[in-house]
Amino acid sequence: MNINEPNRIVPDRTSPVALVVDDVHVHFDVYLAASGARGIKSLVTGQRTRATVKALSGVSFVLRQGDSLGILGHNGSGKSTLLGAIAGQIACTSGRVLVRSQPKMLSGASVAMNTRLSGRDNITLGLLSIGMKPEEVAAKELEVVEYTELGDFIDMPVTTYSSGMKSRLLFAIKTHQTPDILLLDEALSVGDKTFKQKSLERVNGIRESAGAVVMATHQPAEIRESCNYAMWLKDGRVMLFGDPEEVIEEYESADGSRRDTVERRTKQHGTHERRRNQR
Amino acid sequence: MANLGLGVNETEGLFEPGIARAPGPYLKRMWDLRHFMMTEARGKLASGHSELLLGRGWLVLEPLLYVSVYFVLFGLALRTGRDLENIDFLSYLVVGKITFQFLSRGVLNSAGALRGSPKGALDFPRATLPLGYVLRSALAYRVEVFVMFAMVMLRGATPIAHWLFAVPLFLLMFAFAFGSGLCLSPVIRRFPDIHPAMSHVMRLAFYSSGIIFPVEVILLDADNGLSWLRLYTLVNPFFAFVKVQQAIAFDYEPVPLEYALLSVVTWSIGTLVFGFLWFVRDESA
Repeated sequence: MNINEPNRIVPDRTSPVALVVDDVHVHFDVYLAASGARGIKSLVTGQRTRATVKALSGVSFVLRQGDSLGILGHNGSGKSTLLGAIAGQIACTSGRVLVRSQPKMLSGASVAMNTRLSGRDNITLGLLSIGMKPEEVAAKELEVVEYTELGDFIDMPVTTYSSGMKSRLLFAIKTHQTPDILLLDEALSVGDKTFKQKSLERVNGIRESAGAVVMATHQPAEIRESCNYAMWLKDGRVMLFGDPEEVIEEYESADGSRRDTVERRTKQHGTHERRRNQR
Repeated sequence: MANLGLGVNETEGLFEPGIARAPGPYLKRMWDLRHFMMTEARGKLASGHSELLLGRGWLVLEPLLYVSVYFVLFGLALRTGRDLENIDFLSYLVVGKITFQFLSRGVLNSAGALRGSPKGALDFPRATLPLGYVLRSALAYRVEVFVMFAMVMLRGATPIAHWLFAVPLFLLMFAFAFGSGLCLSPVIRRFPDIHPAMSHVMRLAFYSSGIIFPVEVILLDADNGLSWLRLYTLVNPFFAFVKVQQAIAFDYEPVPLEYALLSVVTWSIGTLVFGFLWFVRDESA
């Protein structure tokens, strides 16, 4: 499939368009740290070595209501940048994103939490920050508090929490509502065994009821399970977009060739070892 | 638009994600977050004292302590208030210091609100960041202003109806602090080095606004003609705010009140309106 003809990707369908990503480029300017004499000179002159990182180069696709897209790619391939651009958190250098409603990101990375305040206060703030009215918050807050299973700790400052408790609180704050356009960055299960199961179910529930979903992952299995489109991203470019099976197969054969070699080598190594032992 | 295989009108009703780019919708997004901002400011103010034994008592103690220190140093030791005729120096000091404290705290903190914040679109209106700092400062001022009037009463003043003018003056002070934050924070995001330098400018403003010694008696003496120092004093917004507050609290009018009021209103409305438009423009650039 030719990625330069995105029109072939989206079959003629009638459900309304939820998300348009139109030839999006994202470049970051980074300043390189100079050292030695050059570093001192740069301190005086204020000139710094600048480099441009092309995080995304011409990504285009359309999702309709009910579509679910899984993005495959290695670390640094541009998955998170693409999600950030769709959420409006990262500005496009050129091209544009159009949405039917404001997308909501569920990410593993931590959002701002006031650790001096109690868990309950953070829940209240989280609910207010999405524009909820105080009277709506009171009812919803109880529900979120119960979901965290933090018990009496909910009224203690977050500084007293273990990291597992913190991530449970964060997860509860972020997943209490179902957005129309859902963005998922990496796997989102947190906590101990029971809570992990519970959180997985919650994410799946949100994924099923959201209008359109874009998820970034390393796990082809997750895409096979719940997406009707897949995209393979490499160095900020779309390698392939289309049917999940097809994309996963291509991704794995390009990627897997390397894995196969590694496996073969370990196998050979193992036989050597055994032989030596037999002697 | 690239060929995306979209039909005519299919993109109708779609919009760009992230923040609104026009002043009107931007203001609405901020208004929607009002409960969040208030709750957050309240929480942050409270948590600042949470590990102290006296807790919120520090909101009262702190202004009492810094005023006491200045009173001992300047009032008793250096007698900087000797040029003030018929005016109680402690009242003069309390009103000036508490008024200035709210302004400088609001201006400094809100000006640094975008430090380390990345350039580019975000999914919330970033003007809420400087506003959050000014709100927190205002919540502390709410307590401090009672300390202020209590001290003025202890020094023999009887409460009068026009103390109520402290309320509209507070609104102007709030507008000025937030407006300054809006003007300065985009600049400071680009040149963060301005921020640490600013606290020294604030110190200069503190010593030159008629708080611990009456600059007005020396600088505004008409016999001195139009010197640069005189011009600076007349333009200095902190000086004008402090003098209006002192006029409200104990009828002290070293400069014509009309002039001080004009200065105060111009500074607050000017910085707020210009700052907001400038900030929103910078956000969507």
